[in-house]
Amino acid sequence: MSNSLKQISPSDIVFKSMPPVTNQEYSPENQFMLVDKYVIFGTSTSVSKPTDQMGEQALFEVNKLHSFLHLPENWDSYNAAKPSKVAVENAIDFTLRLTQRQQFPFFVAPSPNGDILIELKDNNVTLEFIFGEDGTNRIFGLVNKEEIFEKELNETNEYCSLRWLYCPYGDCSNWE
Amino acid sequence: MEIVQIGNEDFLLRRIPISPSYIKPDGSISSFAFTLKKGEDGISTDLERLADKDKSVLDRTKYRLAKINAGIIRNDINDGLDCKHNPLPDNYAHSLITSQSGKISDSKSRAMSRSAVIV
Repeated sequence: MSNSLKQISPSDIVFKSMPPVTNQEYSPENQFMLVDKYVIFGTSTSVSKPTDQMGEQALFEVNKLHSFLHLPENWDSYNAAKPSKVAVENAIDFTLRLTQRQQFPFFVAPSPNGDILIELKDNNVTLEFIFGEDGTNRIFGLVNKEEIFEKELNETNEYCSLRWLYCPYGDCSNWE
Repeated sequence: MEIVQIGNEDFLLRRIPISPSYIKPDGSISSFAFTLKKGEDGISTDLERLADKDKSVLDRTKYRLAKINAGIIRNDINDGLDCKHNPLPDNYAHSLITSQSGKISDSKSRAMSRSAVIV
């Protein structure tokens, strides 16, 4: 993607209602199915039953997120909280949706408060998805490391922010 | 214990975890390294000129040290942030990055992480 595509002002960002990619992707029931399929059926430290669609990199990312559940209290030496189970589950769910689009996290980490960060990056544009320890989730959009928007994470904002990052002109073959 | 004044020329040291890592694939430091936890009065650091780096890092297999300039925190990042010596019985160099409001926003945490360098 050229730099010229990324010179976007905040007023250019339009969050509008968009249909989900599939009818099943975002229901709470389906989220648990996804977590069950890839995490609960795995061993305590790894995931062992990938599907055909789930590549090695996706499996690596899910395993990494799952491993955060085994961190102890004070894992950062400054009294960090254990990562929250709900935050890890939501982060894994999001990662699975992301990998279905052949996109992968640039960086993932637990926060000192038990939240989970998934960072996506393309040139000078960054999206930070924060999965809160209390189940509330947010998206931050940054251009040249400056924050230009913060949104509650919901189905519409997830779709629109990903499209803004990966397909700003809407002419990409892998985007509906 | 005597409290020393932290000058704008001073540097503060902060441990950065290696696993999971707060250092991103491009070498930059995650803003989580400078995130205030719930209930904290400030972000714990060690004043570099009083610190023994081998003690500050605790365990080199688990952490690295990042340093950040106090003057940048006060004057460039600003937003009511300050640096205060806060010695502990077992760590005379202990210092805090504090905020007048009691909160440190995500954008200020990001600004501090951008200004910090791995030692």
